Amino acid sequence: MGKQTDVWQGTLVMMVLKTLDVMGAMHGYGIARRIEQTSGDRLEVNYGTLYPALLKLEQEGYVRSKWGVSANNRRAKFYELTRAGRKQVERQAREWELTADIVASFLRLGEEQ
Amino acid sequence: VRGLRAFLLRLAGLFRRESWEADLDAELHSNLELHVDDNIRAGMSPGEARRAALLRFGRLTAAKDRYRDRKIISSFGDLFRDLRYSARLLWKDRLYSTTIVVTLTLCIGGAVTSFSALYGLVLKPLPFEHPERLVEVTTPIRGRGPQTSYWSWTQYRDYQQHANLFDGFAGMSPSTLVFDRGSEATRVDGQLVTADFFDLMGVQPLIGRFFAEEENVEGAHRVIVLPESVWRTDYLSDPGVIGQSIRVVGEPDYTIVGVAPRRLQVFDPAAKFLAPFRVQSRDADPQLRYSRSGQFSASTRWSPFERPEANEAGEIVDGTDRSG
Repeated sequence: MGKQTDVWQGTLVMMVLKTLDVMGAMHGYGIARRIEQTSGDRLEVNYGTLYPALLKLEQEGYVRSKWGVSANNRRAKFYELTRAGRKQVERQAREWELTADIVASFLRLGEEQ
Repeated sequence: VRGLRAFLLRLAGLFRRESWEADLDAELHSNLELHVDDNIRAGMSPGEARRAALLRFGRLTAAKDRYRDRKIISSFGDLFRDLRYSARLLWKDRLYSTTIVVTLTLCIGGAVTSFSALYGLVLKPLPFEHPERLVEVTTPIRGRGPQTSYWSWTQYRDYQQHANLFDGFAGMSPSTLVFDRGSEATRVDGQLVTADFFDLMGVQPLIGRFFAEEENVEGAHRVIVLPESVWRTDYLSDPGVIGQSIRVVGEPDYTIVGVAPRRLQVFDPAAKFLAPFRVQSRDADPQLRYSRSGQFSASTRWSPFERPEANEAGEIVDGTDRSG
């Protein structure tokens, strides 16, 4: 395991939404673990940012939460995407692809000549 | 819109601090336990697992603070700072701000005004049952086109009795009475209506009653109905007005029998009374059916309203004999 990087504020929201989109309802800890796994453990999710981010998404109506029971029989608060949330995933994914593309083309500058 | 929604929820968060704080504690605690479970599964001893998990959740006070900031609007100081900042920006570029304010004012004002006018004149339906079936009947006069105000009593009776395509007919005619208020006499404008007018509009009296058929006859006891606005302002909404009399110069006293709801005032917002149209014997003379003079004075306008029962065919045929 190499040095873990903190997740940038803006990207975390996109990762949370996408994770919920793929995995369905999950609790906060599960979301964090999943994000870390997906990144090949190169990222470490800061819980101090995760919970406020989840709350913000809930206030904006992109996710909703309810209490349930986890696979190993623990009570936990589960989050899932709303319909607006699913649309938001697509929108954010498009924006990120565009941004990544633009940044990549700048990084390529000079290589081509 | 999402921003506004979030803002309102945060405002609500101010008032429900207890419940969400307990909820957050429970969530964090359950997530900590999940983490401990995971660590044990990964081969740690329970004590080790808890220590490692607590290390990860170590920044929880900070998390809670941020969560709290997010959950509620922590102080109105933020709000005022934002307002002051906006005000300063607006002041800094006064010309620009003024242009925007003036533009917005003119646009919104213009749009609102024209919509209100359009709504009032075109879109707003009459406040009665089946307003789409309520029509005003006109009488064509050669060289002058349709006239709403030239109706004779006989003509009205003809329609009422023979034009069976319609639910009913009613007429209305402006009138003036001189109320005798002891020390002074006041000219008061109102409307005379036929007894079936209220029925046709599907309107019930607020209190008291409307007119009976026999009150449409000259010599009948004088009765009067007050519009709601008059009743509320001049009589202070007193239900005891029913049965009171109004002295009128040159006529017997009128007895107040009812109060008409406000919506009837669309026909004549200025009307201060409604009284039964009283037919005089000469009005009923069939010979005078189409001669305007001598039946109603020139000031008498007669606008019967009728409600066609079936006009799917696109035309309304009346059953009156016009040859007479």
